[in-house]
Amino acid sequence: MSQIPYLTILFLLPLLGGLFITFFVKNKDEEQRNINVKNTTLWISIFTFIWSLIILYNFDTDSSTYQFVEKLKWLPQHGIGYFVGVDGISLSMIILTTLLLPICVLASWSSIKHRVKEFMVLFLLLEAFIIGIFISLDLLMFYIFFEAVLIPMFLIIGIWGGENRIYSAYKLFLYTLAGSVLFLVAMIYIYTQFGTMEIPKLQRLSATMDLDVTKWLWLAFFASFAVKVPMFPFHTWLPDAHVQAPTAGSVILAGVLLKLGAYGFIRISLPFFPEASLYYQDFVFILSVIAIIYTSLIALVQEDMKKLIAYSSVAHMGFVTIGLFSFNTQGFDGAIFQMISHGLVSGALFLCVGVLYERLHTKSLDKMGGITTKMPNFAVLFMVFTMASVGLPGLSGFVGEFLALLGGFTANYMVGILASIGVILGAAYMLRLYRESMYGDIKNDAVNSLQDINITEKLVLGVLAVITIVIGIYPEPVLNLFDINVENILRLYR
Amino acid sequence: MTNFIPINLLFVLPEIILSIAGMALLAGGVFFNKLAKSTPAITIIILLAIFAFLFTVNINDQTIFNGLAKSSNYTNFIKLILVLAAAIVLIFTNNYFNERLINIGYEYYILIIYSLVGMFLMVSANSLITLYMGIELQSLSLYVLAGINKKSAKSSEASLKYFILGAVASCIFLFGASYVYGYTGSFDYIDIKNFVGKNYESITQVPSPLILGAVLVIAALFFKVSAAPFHMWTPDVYEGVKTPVTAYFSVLPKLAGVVALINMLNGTFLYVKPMWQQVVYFAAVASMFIGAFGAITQINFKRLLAYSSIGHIGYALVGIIAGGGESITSTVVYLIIYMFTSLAVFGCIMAVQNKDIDNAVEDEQIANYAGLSQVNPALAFMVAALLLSLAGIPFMAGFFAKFYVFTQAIDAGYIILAILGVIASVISAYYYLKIIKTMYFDEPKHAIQVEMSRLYKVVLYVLVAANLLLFIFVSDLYGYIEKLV
Repeated sequence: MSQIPYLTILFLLPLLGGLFITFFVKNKDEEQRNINVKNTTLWISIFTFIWSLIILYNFDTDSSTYQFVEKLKWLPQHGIGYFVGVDGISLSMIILTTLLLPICVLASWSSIKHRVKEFMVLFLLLEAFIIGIFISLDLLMFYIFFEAVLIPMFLIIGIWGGENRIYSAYKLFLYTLAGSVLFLVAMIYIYTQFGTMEIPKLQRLSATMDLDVTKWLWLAFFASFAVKVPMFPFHTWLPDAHVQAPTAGSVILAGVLLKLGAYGFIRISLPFFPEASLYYQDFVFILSVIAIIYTSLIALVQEDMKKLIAYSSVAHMGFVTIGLFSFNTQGFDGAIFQMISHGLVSGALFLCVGVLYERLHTKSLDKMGGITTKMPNFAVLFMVFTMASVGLPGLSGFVGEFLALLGGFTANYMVGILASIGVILGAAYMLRLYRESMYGDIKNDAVNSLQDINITEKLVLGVLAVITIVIGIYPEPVLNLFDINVENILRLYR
Repeated sequence: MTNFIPINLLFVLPEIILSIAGMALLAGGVFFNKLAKSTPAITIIILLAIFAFLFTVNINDQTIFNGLAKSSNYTNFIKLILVLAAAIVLIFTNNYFNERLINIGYEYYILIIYSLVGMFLMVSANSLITLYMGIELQSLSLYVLAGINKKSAKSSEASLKYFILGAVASCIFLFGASYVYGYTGSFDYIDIKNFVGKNYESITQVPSPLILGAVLVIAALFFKVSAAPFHMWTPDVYEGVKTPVTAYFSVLPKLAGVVALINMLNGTFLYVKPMWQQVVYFAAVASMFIGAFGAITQINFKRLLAYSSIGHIGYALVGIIAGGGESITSTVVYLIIYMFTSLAVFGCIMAVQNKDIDNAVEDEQIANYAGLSQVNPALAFMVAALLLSLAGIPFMAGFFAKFYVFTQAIDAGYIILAILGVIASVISAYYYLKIIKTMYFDEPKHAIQVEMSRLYKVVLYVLVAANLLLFIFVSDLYGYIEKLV
């Protein structure tokens, strides 16, 4: 193993970058300072992204163990340490995060006007914490980052959000905190049983536990992850948070934070408690199917574009949980692929809404219409993401949804059939979104004076569109990245 | 036995110095005006000297004065923490009164000194009589401290309320102690423990009046640390007295009281553990939830912190319940982290003054702090970080404080208690967030002004930095205390 602490550097880059900006980027002129802050943040985030690509380059896809492992003592009396490492699953999530961060910074370039410095610093902190979650191999570290993510998110929504921001920020914070404290109790219980917090060790040890106990532990972890996913009926914080968050906040929320729940299932619930997971399979299926159909129906009648996409996110995450709990290769691969694809696509959709909101100062569908004629370039890109969200073959959304559904069919054909209804509904509400906003008559005078997207927006949306198309047509390299880890987990279920 | 006096005096040197200094300052201040004026500085110097003494001295565990008290590195460590906290409070106090041009009178400092002696006695008590003396000395000083602001009706009310309820609690203590004495024939912790262990094979055989006595003694201590259901005095007293006094009330007596409680539960009443575990269980749950729900509707920062301190005592009791060395360690770590976090919060809120004459809101109303993040970002950040620490959110030491006590509780099989504890901590996160919201999301409404002397600033920064660093180095603190215990 190499001597360079790849992951620690990856984690520290945004963290120290944030501190650097706090203390050293100063200027008497506020305009100038803000520009400096934005530039520095952008470069830090781009450099973090490049660094994550270097890690990817050095990553060995044939090895099934954790790579780039680093271990330091932290709480020696309790056998808890700073213990990091990645496998293919977490690495793909890390790259998703580091890719979305520069995009978020660009998206807030002109839309954030007050307290720019704090905003950028909070975003870098957020990135560091998220990376922290994905690299943790110690349960306590995982938990710490899992909770710490809430603080920057609370402030981002609370300070820069819409009219109802404070309510939403509270809801987000308390909902997720309530879920994650049960995680804390379960974690401490496991710790008192085995005296270690190392995830790889616990993955072996926890098999010795009694089913009656693991059922409770599974539920405790479930409470925490289900809120984050979010699964029905714990999803109500999400539409509020999305609608009120600034564009970049929505992007990171949909793009990465929603993946934390599913990632928790993959990293903890499924490998730790295979028996209990099987026991609760139907329970998860039922909740997922309800989530898919119910939230799709809600999405059908939304007038607020952000709310519509937020509800569609809940539905799409339903496919992820179905895929995960089908316990077969197709389902599992599909679920992880769907996580990545959804991160890109819904992030891009929120960016699109942001583009419109910045120009029209509304997110309401009945104030739009006929935008295609004024913004042709934008209309094309928006179409790509709409179709990807629907799951049109050739785009990334199709691969994930198809594989997850296939897994669902194999496990339980009723689930497959019911979830397929969600695909149809998905097409219905996404096409409605596109039609009402882009086609039809111009209902709003402001639309007449619209400018098409500028070069930065083209670049940002273009990059995402290209990735969506490329991995949609040729998903093999992405699937290859985590294939061996998926097989490793699934071995417990055969 | 002939030469025990000179040796024993060394063990109580801090107490002796404090008592003599207190008397000298009191008497001297009457005659020499200059001495009275420099009392604050002298007091702080004496406290720091005692801190240095306790820091260097290293002794073996032993009982002194024929078993009336005991002395060990552990008790010395607790005393060291107490002295340090008292010195910090005094630094904050000076700034507070100077900025507001209030002449508090030099008696204030002498009362602090005497209450400190009382707490030292409580910590090293090895007999119910010593403990009672300590409690009384501490409480009497605190009653007067509460009423030090003579012209304020609220302060006098608080003082009187505190005095009457405190006197009743002391009576309860004596009543309980007399039962214990009646059955065991001794006040000595070890004698009582051995008597119970020898004469009764199981807990069912222990006569109920003896248990009643133990419960009464414990209840009196609960009153002193403001654990529910004996918490009623706390919000009113906290609100009524001057803020520096509140800061003093909210940290020092808590540590002294809980340490005395731990000594008694794990020493004297070791053999009736299943009995006191029920009592502590109830008090812990009640404190956590009363603390959590009580604070939600508060609009005064001090009242809110009063409820918050009730809640925190609940968490400390969660740590006590398991019994044994690690549980003591976790509780002491919890209290130390809580103490210094809470002190720093008080330091922050004391620095803020409302200078808006038209819109005058009473000092220490939460509304006063609206938009603080725009007026003084550094201070707002510190308050936010400290409050998150109190809420037990990661990246602050408070998280590990909670983590350790819950680990102890779960290890001893109290899973339900731990679940109730984390639920209460989610509820309490709400009101800490409320303050952060006021500081960060609301626009400034009042002309607030932040005035801090340089020393004040340094102390405050060190406290906050320590809180952040302790997150990383918490195991060192834990290991150090574990060795002492």
